[in-house]
Amino acid sequence: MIYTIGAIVSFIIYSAVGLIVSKKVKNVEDYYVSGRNASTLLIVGSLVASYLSTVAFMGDAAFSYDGYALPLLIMSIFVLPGYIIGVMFFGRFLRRSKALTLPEYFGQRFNSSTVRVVAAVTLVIGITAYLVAVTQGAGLLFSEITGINYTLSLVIITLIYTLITFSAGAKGVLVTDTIMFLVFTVATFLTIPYILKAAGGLPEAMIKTGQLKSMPDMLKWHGITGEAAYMGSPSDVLLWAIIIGIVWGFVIAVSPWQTSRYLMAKNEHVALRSSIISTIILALIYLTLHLTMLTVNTINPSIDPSERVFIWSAMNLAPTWIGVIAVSGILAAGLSSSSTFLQLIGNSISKDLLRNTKMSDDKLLKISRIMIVVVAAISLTITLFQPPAIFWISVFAATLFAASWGPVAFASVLWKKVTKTGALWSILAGCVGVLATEILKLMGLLNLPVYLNSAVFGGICSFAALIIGSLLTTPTKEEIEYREKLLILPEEEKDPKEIKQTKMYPKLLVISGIVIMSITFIFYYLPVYS
Amino acid sequence: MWLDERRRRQAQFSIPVAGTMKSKGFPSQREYLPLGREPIKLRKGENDMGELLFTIFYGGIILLSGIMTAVFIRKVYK
Repeated sequence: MIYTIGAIVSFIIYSAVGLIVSKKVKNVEDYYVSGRNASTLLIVGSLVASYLSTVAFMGDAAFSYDGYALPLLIMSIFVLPGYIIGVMFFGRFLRRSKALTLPEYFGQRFNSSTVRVVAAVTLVIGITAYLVAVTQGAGLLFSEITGINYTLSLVIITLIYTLITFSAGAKGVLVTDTIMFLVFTVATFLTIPYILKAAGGLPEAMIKTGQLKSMPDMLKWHGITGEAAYMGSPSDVLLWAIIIGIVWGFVIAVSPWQTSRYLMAKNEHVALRSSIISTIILALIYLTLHLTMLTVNTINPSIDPSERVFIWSAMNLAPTWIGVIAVSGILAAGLSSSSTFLQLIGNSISKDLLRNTKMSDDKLLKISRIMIVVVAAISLTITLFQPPAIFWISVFAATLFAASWGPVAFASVLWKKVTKTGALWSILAGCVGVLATEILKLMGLLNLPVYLNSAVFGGICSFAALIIGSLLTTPTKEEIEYREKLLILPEEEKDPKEIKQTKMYPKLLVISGIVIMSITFIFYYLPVYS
Repeated sequence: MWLDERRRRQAQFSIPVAGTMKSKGFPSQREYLPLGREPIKLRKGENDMGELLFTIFYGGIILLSGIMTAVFIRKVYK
């Protein structure tokens, strides 16, 4: 009951915050990009909150509990630099474009409404499918905690994030995302010590975990061995970690729910600083959470379904008040991703697909709000009835963006010969490559090991189409001029105070790297292998 | 209970399940499907080089990112 109350109280707080922030929404820029004046804290909060959904605390936690924390962490080695590379070579230029949506950026950059529409269509389809999956996750969790039926849970969850997004747009999403980010981060770091204590404290918890006979080699880099293992040979595991890691690195670098946050940053410095802090926070959350989930096997090796491992630990091993924060935190992780997704879909439909240059700001704002409600209603319907096509797309919706948007996004900044034809072909070829691979797999005509993700084939198709399409055509004067304008460092970014402050942040990364290496060495490597 | 319901729906659609191998249908961002290969065999006398490399690289990638970012910022924002 206490967990139900905790969840409901948190819902009331998020909704109230959304309504309060809505009073500050005065124009389209406020609604779409939070007035482009968001601080580092807000951008970090939204970057991390929209990346980590219920999946991180349930799906990923389960994968670790099942004996594969190390492969997951090896994968993270390739995912984490996505923030830094993304902001350096795409995010800060995206911000310079002053676009309101990502498809608008692509449209402006290539002086092509077709490119804009195609980008918008992929965004709407891909993120709607993803929204459905994340809403289902939050709905299932809420239903299990409260005991109310699944359908009602979905309706409540959808109502909460729709209310926040409808009323306050990007401004509300940024503030609530940040609150939710603080809740689940605090919950994680409060819960972990209690779990480790219950497992015997450090370093005993790690030693016991490494000696578990039922799950041998759990602390080896390739995960568990023996009959229960399902990830194949060590080289398969390594290939899986590297390839899926690179794919997810691209997702972090170019996906709409990550890069759109840079459009809201106060300046480029804020965008750069945010990506640095997000890298550090994700590295710490992943390392501590997943190694801790392994140790739960020494306390209770039969949590079923294993997705409940973090929830079970928080409810049974930590004091009740921490358990309440943890459960509310996981729900918050789901809600924050959903609100970001809804905002992106609604905005893209209003601004990119239904666009009308004669429309006044007030009318666009009104239409944008209506679209948020319409999209929420459609998403809820899909979630309730779960049509196979949408459910199928949701499996690979996130990685679809890595394949279809990745090459174009970077080339739009880095390659002067890229043309609108190349961009258009690239986006389409990436989509087709991913979809065709998935369809062939579904029909049983293609049997690939999991490390050969469909995004790899999509990415190759997209890259090839970009090169061929661009080399067969010539960039127009408008395209060349737009790119040249993007490459000029704006005067406002040359403020010595800002530059001095930004130069401090890489030092934070270096120090964090050393600290993380020391933590890993002392608490993981030494106890097990010395 | 809800998991049984989810399993039933997935079986009905015969669609690859998103989520972890043991997710029993929980929607996920990632695919953790079985590789369909032989399970890893316990190898006697295996060294700990892989674990040591992980220990170095997990923090090392953050450290390297820091160095790369420092160089980048100095070059771009003079």
